[in-house]
Amino acid sequence: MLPYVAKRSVQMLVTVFVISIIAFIVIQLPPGDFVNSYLATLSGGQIVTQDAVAALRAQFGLDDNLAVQYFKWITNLLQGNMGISFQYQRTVIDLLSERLPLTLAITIPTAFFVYAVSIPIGIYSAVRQYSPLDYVFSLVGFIGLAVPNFLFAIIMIYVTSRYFGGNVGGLFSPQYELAPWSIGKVLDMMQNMSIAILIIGTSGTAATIRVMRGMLLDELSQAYVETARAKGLSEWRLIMKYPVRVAISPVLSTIGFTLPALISGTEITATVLNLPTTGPLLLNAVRSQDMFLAASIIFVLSILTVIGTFISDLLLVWADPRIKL
Amino acid sequence: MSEHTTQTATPILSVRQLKKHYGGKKPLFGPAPNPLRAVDGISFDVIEGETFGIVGESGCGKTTLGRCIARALEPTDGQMLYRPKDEKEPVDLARLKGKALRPYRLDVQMIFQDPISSLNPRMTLLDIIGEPMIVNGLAKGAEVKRRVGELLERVGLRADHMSRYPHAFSGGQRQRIGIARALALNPRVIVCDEPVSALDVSVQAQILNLLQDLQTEQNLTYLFIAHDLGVVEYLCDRVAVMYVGEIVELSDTERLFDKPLHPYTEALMSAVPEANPYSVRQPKILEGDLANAVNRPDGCHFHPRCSYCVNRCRTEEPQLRELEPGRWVRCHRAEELSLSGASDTLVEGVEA
Amino acid sequence: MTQMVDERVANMPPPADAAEGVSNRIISPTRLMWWKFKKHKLAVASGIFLILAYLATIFAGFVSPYDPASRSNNLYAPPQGIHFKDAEGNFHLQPFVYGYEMTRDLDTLRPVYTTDTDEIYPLRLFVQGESYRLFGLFDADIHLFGVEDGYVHLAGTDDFGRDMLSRLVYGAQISLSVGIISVLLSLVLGLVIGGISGLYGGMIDSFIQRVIEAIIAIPTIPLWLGLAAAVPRDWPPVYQYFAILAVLSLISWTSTARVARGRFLALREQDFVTAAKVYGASQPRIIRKHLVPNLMSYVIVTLTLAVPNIIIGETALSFLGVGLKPPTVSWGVLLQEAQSVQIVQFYPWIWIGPALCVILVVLAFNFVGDGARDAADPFSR
Repeated sequence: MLPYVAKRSVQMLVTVFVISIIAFIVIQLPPGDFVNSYLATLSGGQIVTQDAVAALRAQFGLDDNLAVQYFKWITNLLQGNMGISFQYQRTVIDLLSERLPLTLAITIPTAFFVYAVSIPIGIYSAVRQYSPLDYVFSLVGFIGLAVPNFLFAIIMIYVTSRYFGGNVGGLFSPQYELAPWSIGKVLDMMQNMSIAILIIGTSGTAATIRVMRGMLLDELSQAYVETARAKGLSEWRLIMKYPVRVAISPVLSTIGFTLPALISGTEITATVLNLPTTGPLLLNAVRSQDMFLAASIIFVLSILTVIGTFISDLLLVWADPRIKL
Repeated sequence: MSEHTTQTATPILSVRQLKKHYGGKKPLFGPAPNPLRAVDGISFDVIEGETFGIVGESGCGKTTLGRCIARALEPTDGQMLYRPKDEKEPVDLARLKGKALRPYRLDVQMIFQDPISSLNPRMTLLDIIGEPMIVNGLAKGAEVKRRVGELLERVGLRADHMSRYPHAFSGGQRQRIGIARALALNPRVIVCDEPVSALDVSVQAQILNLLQDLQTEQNLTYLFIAHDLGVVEYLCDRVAVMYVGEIVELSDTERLFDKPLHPYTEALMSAVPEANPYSVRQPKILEGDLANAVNRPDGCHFHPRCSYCVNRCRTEEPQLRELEPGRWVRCHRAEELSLSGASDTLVEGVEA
Repeated sequence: MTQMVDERVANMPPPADAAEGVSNRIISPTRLMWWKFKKHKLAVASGIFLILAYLATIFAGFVSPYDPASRSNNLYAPPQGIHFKDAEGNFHLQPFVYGYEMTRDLDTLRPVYTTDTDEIYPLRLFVQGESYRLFGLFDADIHLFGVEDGYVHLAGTDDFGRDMLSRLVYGAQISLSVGIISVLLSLVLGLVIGGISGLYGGMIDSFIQRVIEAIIAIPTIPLWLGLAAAVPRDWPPVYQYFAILAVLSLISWTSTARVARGRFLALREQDFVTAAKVYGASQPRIIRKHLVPNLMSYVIVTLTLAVPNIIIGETALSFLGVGLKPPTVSWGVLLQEAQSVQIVQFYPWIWIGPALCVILVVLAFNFVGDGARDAADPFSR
């Protein structure tokens, strides 16, 4: 186990390194350097001394070559200094610590939701292949696959306002918006979050159902299943005991793809539903070319998916000794 | 068939201490792992016009050996001295690369085991059989067509099949196509890597007979890799028995099958099913699995599975030695053991 | 039904084991794949739908009844229904639409439309209307359908009274072409990078694998947003279009590369490649003649399944206002209207149209991709 953890950690560090380069590219891509854009965004009333400008340029090494700039950026980053957002006039780390918890509070439950819903459905669809419910699930799955998160969010807004007269969007309903914390407010927040979770989870669920169904179908056609059946094991016990256990670990290992997709979904859904996650923050940053903020958000979100994948990989190895260490 | 063995002719191919190891490179951290010794110091001579058999269980390295000789793989070490037709001096095929190797590639061709994967499904027979000629500049345009037609007829197919794709043919027919492709360059040596083991028994005999006919007509030399001893006895003049990358016994076919000298050979022979229902022969079942080619047992590599094993076998590695003229064996106890060979029914079984 | 069965029997490949005579029909592997694909009715239907959709984008000026930018006085008009029976119950052989009567809700100031059953505008085929340029070359003014006087808005109008149906057709030009072109870009990137990775192995391979892993780990939409931020706002629409294309393909090549690498690794071990090596075929020749033709079908499947992601990507970026921008018309640009809750609630046809288009096209590509996946390996049972 330990050598595996070590090997995987080294791999993870390499991935993080490549991600940091991509994030750095995102910063560098827009024309003009950031101090100039910074000065351009300042309103007339503010005065920035030449010294302050020079200090900023020095801190991020804007007059050095790219390699040095990258090095300075990454060392700053590792020390928790992610730069300044000129749009908000605050440090990036400040803004992130405000917004990131909600992103996680939505994404993590969604991940559990996806697997909790799709694995049982996948099992059912495989065992009762071509049954009416299988077709229904397949249809729902296809629609989940074809309707992008943000469209689904718009549809939800439309349906609730049109047929239920309710209001979707925002973390709190209007009556709780300014109210002090109370049980009612928490419940209201959870309700609003659960709509987001449902929206984001649906497409993830659709994809995972397909994988689970396919894996289990492959497994059910194996000879050992026939043998177990011939020995008189009851059908459900037989299925749950062997094929499901075999089929489930490749399904769980899709988390490396699922997690980034869920975060992606959270960000775009949050902008539609107006939830204060990092999503709307990123969008604003991108719109005003506030690149330190934008790149930092991308970097942090990616690191989170890498860590999430890492943890789930370790859990998987721990739970399923057949996986090669 | 045994007349070849008595020839004193110079060999067409002399393999000396040939090695093919995989892995074993030192990683960034930690010590270098043991390499996988697929072929580990093999030496033998092949005489022009003979059929030289190489037998062993799957995983013993016989396919790797064949691929090294056809230079589909690059040997790690050792020599393969090949004597070209009009040249006195042999060339070492193991040393040559790229352009320098090309002229000799024409002379050594290969036939494969799997009739499915050995033919490109996206090419017609004309392309499959014609490509070697085009690549080597032996023929162009209509000439390619004419010669592909001839080759197809030579291997028992029709010339007008050349515009078809391989999927339209049966396993045996596909094997014929593979043979035609190997013949396209008029080679002198053909490495046959289990060419019939994927075929039905009735088809096997047809393909073997075709190979024999071609050999007499074109004075071909075959390196015949097989695990089916019946086929080997039927076709080969001399046989090398391989175990985890090494030759454990080398002999002419007749004497080998009459009275093997190595316990492993004996075990292989007793595993061959007999056509005689009254036979009282007790099969010697090989216990355990083929030794691991990465971490081989100390002493004789075969000792954990050998029923004649004594203490010496566990500690001292035997060398390949010539026990009788033309009979080589790698066993400490070869002189004292009296091992039983295969019964004669085998030959009839294949010819039927 | 029996006819269908007969056809299938007739289309079956001849038994391959016919000992002597092989049937005289020559069947190429491509043909076998087509037979296998044809068995998936849904995939075939989706394929036809997509072909029609792409044809419509080529003849956009002809298919759409109006110019996508021409305004009318009917602001926020809902879709008109097509009728055969008029208010008096008379049956018309020629379908027609009713005219509108617009009033304003005095509380909300929103326009309210009622159909005016006295105004009957028969729909005609090949009517003369607004002029357009076909393929950017020929001037024409014949439209597939339209009305001779009055107006026809089968999908309603937007805030400037522009015909939504025409905007959808023109939007498809951008949205559908983005999908195809950026998938072709990722094909080139993926084949080259995946091929290098699979062929050379070693350090190059593990480096490329790490890069791919990193790109996969980055949530797509945030990365797209970050890259799209670099596209200067003042660029002309054509530049922006290609910039967005590039942004989309920069990420989507990874799946092609993975498939190409996997197939390269598998094919490298096939005996026919060994045979080619033994008879002296050069490396480039082996790649060209033996490897690429055998992996193309798998790559095409991956690409088909990648198109929907690209289309969704363009739509999402434009919807968020960082992709394409008006006056360019794409489905994503049309969906920008749905940023306003007013429009979502009270003028749903403005966003349902483009939303439906996106969903249908994405579904169709998925069905075609599924069918193609089965057909990619025509020799498996």
